[in-house]
Amino acid sequence: MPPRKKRTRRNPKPRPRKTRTRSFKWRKPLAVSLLVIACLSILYVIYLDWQVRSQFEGKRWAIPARVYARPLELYEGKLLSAQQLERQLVLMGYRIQYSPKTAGSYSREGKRFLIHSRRFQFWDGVEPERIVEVVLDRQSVSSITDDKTNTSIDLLRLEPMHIGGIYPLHKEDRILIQLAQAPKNLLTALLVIEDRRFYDHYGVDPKAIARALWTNVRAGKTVQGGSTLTQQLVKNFFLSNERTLWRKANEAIMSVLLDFHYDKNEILEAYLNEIYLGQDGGRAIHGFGLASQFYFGKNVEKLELSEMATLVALIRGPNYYHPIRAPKRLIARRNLIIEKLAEEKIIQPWQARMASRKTLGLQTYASRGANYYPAFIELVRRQLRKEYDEKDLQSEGLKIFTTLDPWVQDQAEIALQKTVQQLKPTTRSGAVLQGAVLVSSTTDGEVYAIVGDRQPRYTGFNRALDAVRPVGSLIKPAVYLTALSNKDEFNPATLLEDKAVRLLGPDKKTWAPENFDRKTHGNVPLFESLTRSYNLATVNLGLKVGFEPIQETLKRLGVEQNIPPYPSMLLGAVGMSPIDVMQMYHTYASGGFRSPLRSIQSVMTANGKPLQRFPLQVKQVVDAKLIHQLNTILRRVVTDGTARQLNHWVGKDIVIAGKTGTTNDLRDSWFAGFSGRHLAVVWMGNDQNKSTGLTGSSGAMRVWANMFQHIETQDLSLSDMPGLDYQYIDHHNGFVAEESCDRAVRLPFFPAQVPTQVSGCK
Amino acid sequence: MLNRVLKLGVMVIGTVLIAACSTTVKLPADDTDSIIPADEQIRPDATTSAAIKRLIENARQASKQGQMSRAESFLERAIRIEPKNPFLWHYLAKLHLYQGHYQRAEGLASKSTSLMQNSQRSRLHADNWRIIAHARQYQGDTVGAQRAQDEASSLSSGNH
Repeated sequence: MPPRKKRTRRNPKPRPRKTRTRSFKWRKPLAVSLLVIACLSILYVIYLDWQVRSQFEGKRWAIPARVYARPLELYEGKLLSAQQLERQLVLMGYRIQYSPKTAGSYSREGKRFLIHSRRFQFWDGVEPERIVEVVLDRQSVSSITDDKTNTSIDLLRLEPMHIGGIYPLHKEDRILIQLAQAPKNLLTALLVIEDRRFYDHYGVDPKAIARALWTNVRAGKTVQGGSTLTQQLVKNFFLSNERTLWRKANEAIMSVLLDFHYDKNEILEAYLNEIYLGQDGGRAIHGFGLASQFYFGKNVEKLELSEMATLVALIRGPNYYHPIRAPKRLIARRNLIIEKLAEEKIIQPWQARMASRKTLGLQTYASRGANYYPAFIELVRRQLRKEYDEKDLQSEGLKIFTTLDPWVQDQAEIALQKTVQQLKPTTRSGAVLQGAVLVSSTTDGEVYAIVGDRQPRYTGFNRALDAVRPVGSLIKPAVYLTALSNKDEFNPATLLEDKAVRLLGPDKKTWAPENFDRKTHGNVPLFESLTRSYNLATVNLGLKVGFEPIQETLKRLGVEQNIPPYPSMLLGAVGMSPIDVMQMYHTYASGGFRSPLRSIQSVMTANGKPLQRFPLQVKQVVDAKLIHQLNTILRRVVTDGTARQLNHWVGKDIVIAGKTGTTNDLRDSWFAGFSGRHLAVVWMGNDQNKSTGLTGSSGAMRVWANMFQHIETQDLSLSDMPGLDYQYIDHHNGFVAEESCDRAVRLPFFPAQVPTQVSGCK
Repeated sequence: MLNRVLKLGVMVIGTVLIAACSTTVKLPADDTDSIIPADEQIRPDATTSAAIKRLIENARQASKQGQMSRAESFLERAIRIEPKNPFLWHYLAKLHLYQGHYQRAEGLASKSTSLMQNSQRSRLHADNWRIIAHARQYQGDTVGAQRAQDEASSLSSGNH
């Protein structure tokens, strides 16, 4: 709450008067004091006027930026299921019709869709409104035809889904709505219940005050308020609950002033976006837009009668009528409002009966249909502030085109929720199991989806961006990559010593790491050590390679923070957020090219003029052949190593590479994995940093698998590279083996690296 | 003997090209027409879809009219659809080189090369090295530029 400014009391000097009339002498002091009071009052009113107007202008004149998801591009051969297409159409607000006559509708007959698309002005041109027939085949688009001309269409881009309105430079989270968006019944209910004469009064309503006073005096306590919507709005601007007469007077004056300056509809719109409707932890829920998402998980346009009445009921006191703590009280008030609407003949009696019988219908975490992605929007906000000029962002009504893929985002949310529910019984510590998911493209750094909380509509702590946790074994590929880049000394088959290590840590304590199975494995080939995530072999390797080269590798991969040169770093005693991890793994997934992760494709001004773009950038930071060696091993992690359950869980035979990560006492469960098209990083743990009882594969990897059951992706390409020689190696001893040997693994080597010793395994 | 002559030839050609680069400071695509070749000159592999061809054509038109950002946007859309098509990355590299975004141009050209199948080695590969040579030259990295130009020349002279 902003501290109230002290009123300035300056005594305006009364002008000396020349006329002196004795008979009126006694009147002079009175006149002077009246004049002073009048002057002060005028000054005070001017001050109030300035205050209330600046508040109102601040809210009123900024038209929020509209944020869009990536548009759905349809072309022959695009991987897309009928379910996926329909879901996206529904999310974009397309209605199913028998024959799609209006823009924004579609019909469906099995795998044949008739879509009446809407016109949309994109960054690079206009997509016209048209009716197209889209036919799917198994899991992809088989034809797109213009229904009118019956010609085939090469490329159809549907308008992007609107995923929110933001003030790019403000930190507050609000879903702004325009008056025209508000359902008629909601407005009517609001006016009938809160301020019947809104369109007739001058900001205050003496009749209503008198009535409220009478009711309150009779009841002996405050039961009714006589505040107009304007007064409530003013009260919300200054956020104070004091009920002093002085405050009331101030409110009344400011309301009259507001009413004088602005149109009723402008005031009403500001009210809809400003009114306080509840609390979510540290976050205040202001406005009907956010409240409908928060309570019901839907856009305000889609509210049902009972839900509108619930929101109107909450205005009186979101705490007193708390939906969880006092549901009965809230339902009673809601039904009172519904009754009133029926009395006034705004709704039919049967509608009232139906609506009154409903439960509150608060959104459950599994509820669907919301196109509100707070965790993703948060990244958009941060990148806007970082990448764009502040003065550009101040212009009104910007259009922000993001990289969000609504289908992938859906799957990420569902997978995290589903997995949390599946795993709940095995969580020991009583702390709430939390998680974060990020999905991106493997080639260009475009972020498709972000989930920052097991309840994805919550805007609290965004774990995907801000939960800095030890990454455990996820660091290991960087250690092995550093070794492999020393081609003379290390190759995929080089033998490493998996034996006990004792070291003096920076805190003068001895550090004696162990393998997960608490055993030592003697001499193991390098690739096998990474596949099985052996700690001791990794530490011995890291000590040989040296901290500095590893720090250097991490930097090149895109890790920005300083990694301390302590031995425990080799096992991932390094705090990173999931998005930092994703930046690092993106370089592996893209074959050694680093691209900054992007959530924004482009920004356009309200009248369609493009602002600067956030272009596709790639920089080769690691030799493609080295990455190929590394990825071949990371692939083996999935076929034979710590992630070998993955393909079975995904239920598809896709080529994926990845790495599991588990930290001490099972506090953090990580999995980072990539196919040819998608990279996804999952973290699970709890905010109390207690044990979850989960390893990387039993927790985070399950989320990954659940998610990719429903995402069409492509094989990671590991085809033979020119300049490398391929050899079968016995994974027991790192020696050359026959192809038929059941321990043989085919590995890539630089020509001078190919081992010569023969294992004898056939 | 033959080898030696060939080597000498490559060196001479390389030096001449580098000299040409450093003296005339001329962009490979000084007129916007040639940044993205017209349809008949496009050599994407047989799998290139109608959608990609349409986007390349749009990008070509836009770049001809000097609308470089629009052209970029079309190519980026194409890359979203076919991320493994080395020609798209190559065209995008050329667009950035033309606009003086040298680091970006070099990165994109390397990416294009990394995506080439064996059968595609040759002209595209050499062209990518040329973009890199120019980009390095403009950034003042003469040695790096020379190295890139040598690579390009050796590929062009069929020495791969």
